[in-house]
Amino acid sequence: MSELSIASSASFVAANYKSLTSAHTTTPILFHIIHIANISKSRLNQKDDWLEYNDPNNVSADRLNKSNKIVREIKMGDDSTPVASVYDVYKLLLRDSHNNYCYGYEVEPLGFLRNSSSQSTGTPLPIRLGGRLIVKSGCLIQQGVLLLRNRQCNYLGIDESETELVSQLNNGIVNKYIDVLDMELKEGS
Amino acid sequence: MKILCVAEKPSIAKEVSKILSGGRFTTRNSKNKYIKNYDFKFNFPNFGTCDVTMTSVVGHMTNLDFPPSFQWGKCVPGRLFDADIIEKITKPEVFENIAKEAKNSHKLMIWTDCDREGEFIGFEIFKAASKGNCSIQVADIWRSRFSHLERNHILSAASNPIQLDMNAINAVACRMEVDFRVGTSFTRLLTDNLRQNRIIEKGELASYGTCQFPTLGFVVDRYKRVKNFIPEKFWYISVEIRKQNQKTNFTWTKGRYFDRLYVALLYQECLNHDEGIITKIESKGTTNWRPLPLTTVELQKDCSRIFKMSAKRALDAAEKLYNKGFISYPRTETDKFPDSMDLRAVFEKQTGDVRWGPYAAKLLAEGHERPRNGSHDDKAHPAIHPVNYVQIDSLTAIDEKKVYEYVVRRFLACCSKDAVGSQTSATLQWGSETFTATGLVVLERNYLDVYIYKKWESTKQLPLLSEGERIKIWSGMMTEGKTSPPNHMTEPELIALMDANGIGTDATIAEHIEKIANRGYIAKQKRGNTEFIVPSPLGMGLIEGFEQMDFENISLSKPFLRKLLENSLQQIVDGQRSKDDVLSEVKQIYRQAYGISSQNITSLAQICRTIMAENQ
Repeated sequence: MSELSIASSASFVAANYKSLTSAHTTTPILFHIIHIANISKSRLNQKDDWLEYNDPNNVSADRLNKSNKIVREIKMGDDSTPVASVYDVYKLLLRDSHNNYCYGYEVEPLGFLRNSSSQSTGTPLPIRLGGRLIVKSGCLIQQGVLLLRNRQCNYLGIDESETELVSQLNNGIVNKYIDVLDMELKEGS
Repeated sequence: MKILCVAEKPSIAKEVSKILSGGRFTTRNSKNKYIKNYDFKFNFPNFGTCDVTMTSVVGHMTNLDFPPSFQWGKCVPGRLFDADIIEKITKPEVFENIAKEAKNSHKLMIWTDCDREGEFIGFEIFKAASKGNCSIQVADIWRSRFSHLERNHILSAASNPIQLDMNAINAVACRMEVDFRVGTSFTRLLTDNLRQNRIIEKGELASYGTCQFPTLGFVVDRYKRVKNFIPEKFWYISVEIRKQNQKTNFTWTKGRYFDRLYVALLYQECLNHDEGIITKIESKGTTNWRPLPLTTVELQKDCSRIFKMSAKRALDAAEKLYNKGFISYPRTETDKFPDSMDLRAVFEKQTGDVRWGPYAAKLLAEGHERPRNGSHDDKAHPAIHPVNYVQIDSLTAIDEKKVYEYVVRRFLACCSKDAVGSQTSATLQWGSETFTATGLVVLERNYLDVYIYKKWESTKQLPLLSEGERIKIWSGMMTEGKTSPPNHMTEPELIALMDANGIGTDATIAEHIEKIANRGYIAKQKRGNTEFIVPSPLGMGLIEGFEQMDFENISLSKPFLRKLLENSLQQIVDGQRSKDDVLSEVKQIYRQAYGISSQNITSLAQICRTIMAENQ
């Protein structure tokens, strides 16, 4: 059997791993990427980024070319502001073929989330939602979440047969993300 | 042969006359009490000794206006986009003085400031002169190129004139027409409506300007950001080790994350290890760079930051120092000095000062550095620098004292060595995570000795650590933090934002800020030592009102449109586009925006009313 057909039939139930300090996946598992959250940036800053895509008056969709975004904030003086992480780190909401949901964290910068210059998403997200990801066996599981490394990830991209899922996830994505960020901000405050 | 020379300001006319005549000139009054006419002789190359009359204007002599049928109340403001424009002489006695003096002159020589505005004033002077003497042709005009009042520089400018730059003149004419048509139409629309709705008083004006509103927009955006701020929790790992009775804190190289579980998982992995390993110890020289040569915007930002002096006050003081011949032309975007500049001659003039004289003398005796070159060059003026020495106690205005001292110290710092330090950094691996700690020793202060506005000091030193050393983690904590709200806008930041977004020029940025303050759109509030700029309820209402209008892909409160205009003006200067072409494009954009604003003006008034009521 091919890796894809094995992965398609495999399932991952996060709850089964809750009580285990640490475990590893034992078979390749096929997931769809349902949501991507940037955990290295404050939600307010992320909302600013999304708002630029939402409101044409706030973006370069004006009569200037795309690179001319507003310079909103300028670091003044020498005072060192609190540390921000060096690169963006993403938390993925994944769904296996049996409709089980789990989270996957990047523990090292994952290539497939960074090499998307060829297919711009037109949003702050590095890839479009709904793509297929095979998590190979040997991936570390802690407290029910997957800790993803490049060698365990095989990103297959968006499958043309899944247009319904892909458009469901990506249509109106700007407003959806703004709503989610707003909700999280409200809950966090 | 007689040459008529005309400067932009009376003080420049006087200083240039002194230099060209060697102090032998006679003075005649004009009908304007500030303007004098100086007569003397000067030996121009190829022309020999000539009679010279040097006079000046006091800024622009003409202005734009609409014919009587388009005055306020006589037509709907929307018609002003296509109404005829007339040129009005606003200072007739100045205009007539030039016309009169031109009558017996063979040549006209322009001594206005070497920037776009100065070029345009030069053209106004030509028009006045040709009224008095129609034989003076634009192609025959001499245009002197100078950026400060140092004797040799002025003598060289007199001997090597160039021509007036018609492209620059057209660019200014275009900008003036756009600003005039857009400003008057929107100002009338806003003022009439807000007066009718009793939002402003009868005598008050609600002005709109293509730079004013984006400037106000920055202030409003920041105010909203502060008001709407919600603190967010973040988590990070911090490590402390103890060695040689010394505590040393290490910082997580990953910074911080906004997800508790993620950090908890990484922290949990670290906790499996009691010890960490020092993986790298690195000691390397580090430098703290001397400042770049000074531009207007940097001068304004620094004066605001260091002396709490508004941008306008800083520029005013710098202009006065320039007019007196103490510093070079203070309106410049250039952050480099020409290779040919005699830096040592500038040091020499400063050696007598009790405060920085010894430092200048040291540069002369021990040698100096070439100033760093920035990336900006307006091709008109070098970076701001001292030209002649003045004992600052002899200056009466306190702003001038501060600005002069700053300009001199900045210049000496530019020509000094960078400060040198030694930085030791240690990398600690704890489980899978890495942490670093650094210690800095300042070894040579160099430019910092004269540039008293900047601090760079040694920090606590690291204990003796070696690579491969296993070290007990004294304390390894997962720590929770919270984001803090941004500050309200400060003037240095507003200047930097305007500069970065192309709103106004180095010369006009201060005026725009002053204008929106005078209109009551913004207010300055002092908290502690810092002065912040916040919008007034009216200012917020106006921006909110325009933001809620449904324009097609443009915004009247964001900087894009103005930037488009500035870029187009530069294309005129570079000869890539014609004035008419740019004018018709920009007018069309604003004409459409005006139509939408006019249809929605009632809701704008309503928004202003609501916001003002909420903030009473």
